Amino acid sequence: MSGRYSNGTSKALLEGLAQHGEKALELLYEDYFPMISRMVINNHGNEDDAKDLFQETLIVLYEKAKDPAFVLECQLKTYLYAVGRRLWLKQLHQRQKKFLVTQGNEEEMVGNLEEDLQMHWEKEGRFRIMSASLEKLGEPCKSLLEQFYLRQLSMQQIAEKFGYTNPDNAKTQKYKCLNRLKKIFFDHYKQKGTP
Amino acid sequence: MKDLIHFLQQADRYLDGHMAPDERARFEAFCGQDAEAGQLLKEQADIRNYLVEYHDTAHLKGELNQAYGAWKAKESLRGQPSGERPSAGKPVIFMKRYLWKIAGIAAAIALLITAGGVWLSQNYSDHKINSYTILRREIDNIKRSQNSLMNDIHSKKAAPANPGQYGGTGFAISSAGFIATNAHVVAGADSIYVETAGGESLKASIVYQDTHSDLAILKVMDSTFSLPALPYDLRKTAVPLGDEVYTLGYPRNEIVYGKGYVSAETGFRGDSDSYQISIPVNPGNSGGPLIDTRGQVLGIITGKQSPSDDIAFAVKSSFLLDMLDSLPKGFNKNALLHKQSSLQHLSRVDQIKKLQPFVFMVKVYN
Repeated sequence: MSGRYSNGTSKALLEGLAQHGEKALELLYEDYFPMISRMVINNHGNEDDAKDLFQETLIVLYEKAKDPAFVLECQLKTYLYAVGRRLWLKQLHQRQKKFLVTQGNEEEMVGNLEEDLQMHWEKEGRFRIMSASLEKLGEPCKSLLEQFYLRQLSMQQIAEKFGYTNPDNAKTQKYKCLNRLKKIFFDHYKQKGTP
Repeated sequence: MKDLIHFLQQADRYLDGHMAPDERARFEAFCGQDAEAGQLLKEQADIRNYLVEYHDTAHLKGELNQAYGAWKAKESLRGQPSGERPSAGKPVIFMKRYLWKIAGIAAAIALLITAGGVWLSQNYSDHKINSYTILRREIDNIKRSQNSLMNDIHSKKAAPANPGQYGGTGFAISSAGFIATNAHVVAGADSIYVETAGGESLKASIVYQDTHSDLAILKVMDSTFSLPALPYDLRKTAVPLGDEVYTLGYPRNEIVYGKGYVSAETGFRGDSDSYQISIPVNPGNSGGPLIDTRGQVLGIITGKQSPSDDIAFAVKSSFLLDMLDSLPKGFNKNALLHKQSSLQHLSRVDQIKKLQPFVFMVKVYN
């Protein structure tokens, strides 16, 4: 399987992943999911575990692929297997089970793997806290912040959209929402962050 | 509080790079001296980054779920249990598939050379299996010219200079000109017009949209616009399988009726927010009301499964109901609730006649 892609195609897949390209994502599943799925299923996992684990593996890859300067120094397959294996080992450790299959030296071939994974776990932690915080914040605050900070709409547009009488009202409301979000988020994030 | 808001506003301007160099330097100096201000600025920068990061990851996760779904659908067609597929070690049986793929990849690489990277999102679409197709209508040039010809002959009404680039359907949810449609119909819109069955074009704005449930609410901007009392209401009870339903929509420049039945209680890939409906629908039907025999709205048409012809999906009316509470002042949701449908005892033909003025063509310019 290893020789099926030229380096150029791996590169195109990474670029596609960075841009959330639908076809790139489908090709990544097509070509690499069976490999990860076998590893998980042969090591106390089921298909749902495999699905979640491959998703997490691709998110780690995505973090790298987003950086235009990133160059994959080993084969894509090797990288994905090494990341997937480490992620699954962590889960098995939490479930107090052993990894059954001994494997080659993929991890040595992938530079900075630990760094990539540390960064990923930090981000994943933040993702969970942000998700819970936004849930707690509720509507219309959630949408208001989304429109302003993610869609970058003007206060004028937001005021019209949300039916506020003028942009100043919308602005006041937005900062009130943001302050609440900051309080909820940093309460949890700091607790976790400080040793 | 006012001071805080003022400071955060400055912080946002600073972070967005909207400050002039000297103002920027003064702001930095201030935050450097005042510990509290420095901390607030850092928090502001962090929370903004984390919000973007959260949104980006959530978006990616959704797409990865879809890609997994697509893989799974292909896999089940191949009749292989997942995860057990033989790989490179024993490729003989799968030679054909690999050859096909190599050919595909070669074609893709050739394209890549000429088209520079866009192929990943555009090529291969013919190999997609059971994909979800949204039903907003792209109004192409040919239709556009036919359309303008017809307008010349049949009416002298002032319409926007060029017809919309995208079209869909919407239906009134209040007499004051609030109109429900799909979020994907109005996505990326610069301006939106709704056209009545009588051909009158009215400018509308988005007052609420939720891409998750794919619902959007528009409001006709002309404050003098009003409709008679709504003849229908929202269905709040679950809809049994096999229940007969129909829809009105604008897959063409005139209103089209389609009839079908509820074929599953969940939508595309088990999506519990939607129904699966067996009904003929086409691009342009998106956002149309799905109505039961008693004249109650039970869902909103959102998409269909391609390449199948009569598997369509409709988001359940309960999501519309949830959304109504988030609407701005001036919206009276009681008009949609606590009320008997006045269509209940009418024949289908009379129901449709009564419904027509409440169903609009949505035209989107971007």
